[in-house]
This record gives sequence, C-alpha cells and structure tokens, in this order.
Amino acid sequence: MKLRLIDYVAWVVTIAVMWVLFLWVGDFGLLPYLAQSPVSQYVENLWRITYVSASGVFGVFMGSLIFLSLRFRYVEETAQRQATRTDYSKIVIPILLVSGVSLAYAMFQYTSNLMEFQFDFGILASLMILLFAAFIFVVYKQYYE
Amino acid sequence: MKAERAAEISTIVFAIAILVFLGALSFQYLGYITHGYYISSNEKPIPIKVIAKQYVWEFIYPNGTVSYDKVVIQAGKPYVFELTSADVIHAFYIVQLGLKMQAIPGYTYDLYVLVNQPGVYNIWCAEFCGPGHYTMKGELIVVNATG
Repeated sequence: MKLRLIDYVAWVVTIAVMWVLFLWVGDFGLLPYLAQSPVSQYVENLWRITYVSASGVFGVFMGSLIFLSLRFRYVEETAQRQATRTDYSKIVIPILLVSGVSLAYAMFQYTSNLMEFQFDFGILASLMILLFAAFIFVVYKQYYE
Repeated sequence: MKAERAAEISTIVFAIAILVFLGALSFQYLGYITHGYYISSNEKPIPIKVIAKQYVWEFIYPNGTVSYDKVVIQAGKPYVFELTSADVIHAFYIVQLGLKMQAIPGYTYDLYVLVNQPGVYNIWCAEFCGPGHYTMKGELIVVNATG
C-alpha cells in the first residue's frame, strides 16, 4: 500500500501534535519552582535539553504509532463492522481528552507550594499516560477486535 | 531503500550527538558545582559546618553560633557548606536548587551555594536514614544582603 501526499502530511501533523503535547505536559522543560542560583540554572539547562530531546523521540514514536495503526488497519473487516456497530471511539476519545484537560486544569488551580506542585505533576503525568493508554486501547478495540 | 538507510543512520547520529553534548555539558557543570568555579575568585565563600544527625540538621556558623534545621544566608554571597554526618548516611538536599550531596560519617564534603533570590527554601534528607527519616526537614532562609 503506497502512501499518498496527504498521508505524509497527516503523519507529520500527528507527530507534531504528539510532540507539542509532550512539551505542554512538561511545561516545555521549564522548572519554575527553582530558585535563582547558578546551580539551579545548570540543573534547569540540563533538564530542558533532555526534556526537549525526549519530546522529539516521543513525538516520532507515538505519532507514528497512532498514524500507522490507523492508516494500515484491516480495511475489509472495518468496513463490515462499521455497518453493524456503533463507532464508540467518537464518544470515548473526546470524553477522555476533555476530562483529562479539565482535571489537569482544575488541579493546577490549587497548587500553592512545592509539595502540592510535585504531587499534582505526578498525578498529571500519570493521567496523561492513562489517557494515551485509553486512547490506544480504544483505537485497537475499534479496528482490530 | 537509500532513504530508509539515511533516516536510520541520521537517527543514530542525532542520538549520539545529543548524548555526547549532554555528557560534555554535564561534566562541565559538575566541575562548576563541585568546585564552585562559578564563584568569582575575589570572593571567598563563607564556611558553615553542617552536621547531619538522626533526625536533625545542625548548622555551625563561623562565629560559633549553632542552629538546628534552619540556616540563614545572604542573597548574592557565596557560602560553602562543610557537610558531614554524626551517625548514619544522610543526604543534604536543597530542593529549589536541585542540589544534593551525601553526608557520610567520617568524611567532610564541601557544598558550594550561591543564591541570588531571597526566600525560604526546603532542605530535605534524601537518603533513608531511619524510621524518623521523613521528619528530617530544614529550611534555607535567604535574606537580602542589605537587611
């Protein structure tokens, strides 16, 4: 199956979305709780470079995983199933994404000190992993069951 | 097939380049932090002894004053914490500096600190040191140099 230009564009866009999402979750590699000090500046520099590099890896792998899973799904079976079953991914995915973003936003409203920030950040990271897992699960259930 | 091969090689080269760059930068920063190279040579760091004990941080200033779990320093001035332990292994962790060093009985390590922003910062023990480990918390209070 040969990819068309629109497929390549969709692939790149998916990668870019995953890349930006990863950066957004990690506050673009910034560590705002650090004090102004040469040492903390060194720490933040190293963290930012590592995080931005990791975001590139995440974007390429997660974006490709999602794109290729959808692009090379088993079309015949999908066509049969689409006639008989509800496309529940259209309901589940928006709910997952909206609830995740809302919850993350709500949590950050109550962040006032370092320990709460770290706790919220851990919860947020776990939530994002859960969302990705749920997203992939839904995609697979939809097309490969 | 050529394009795939080029993509594969460029991925490897890019990963190596990033890791080498990070390694070199970390090595340079480690030197700065460990030896206090970021402190200008005409400024002599003020020594403060730090003795870790289950479950308290003891600070001894140059004039002999002793304080527990709280240390006050001036913003913009360099200090060196002479870190040791009186019992078991602890770790002196100043959270907002991202700075951590182990306190080991029988050894003294120098920890250079220069904070430019006044405030109250957390000091935690970052090495499990006993059942009261979680209570071993202190504060680094940074005040304006004028006040």
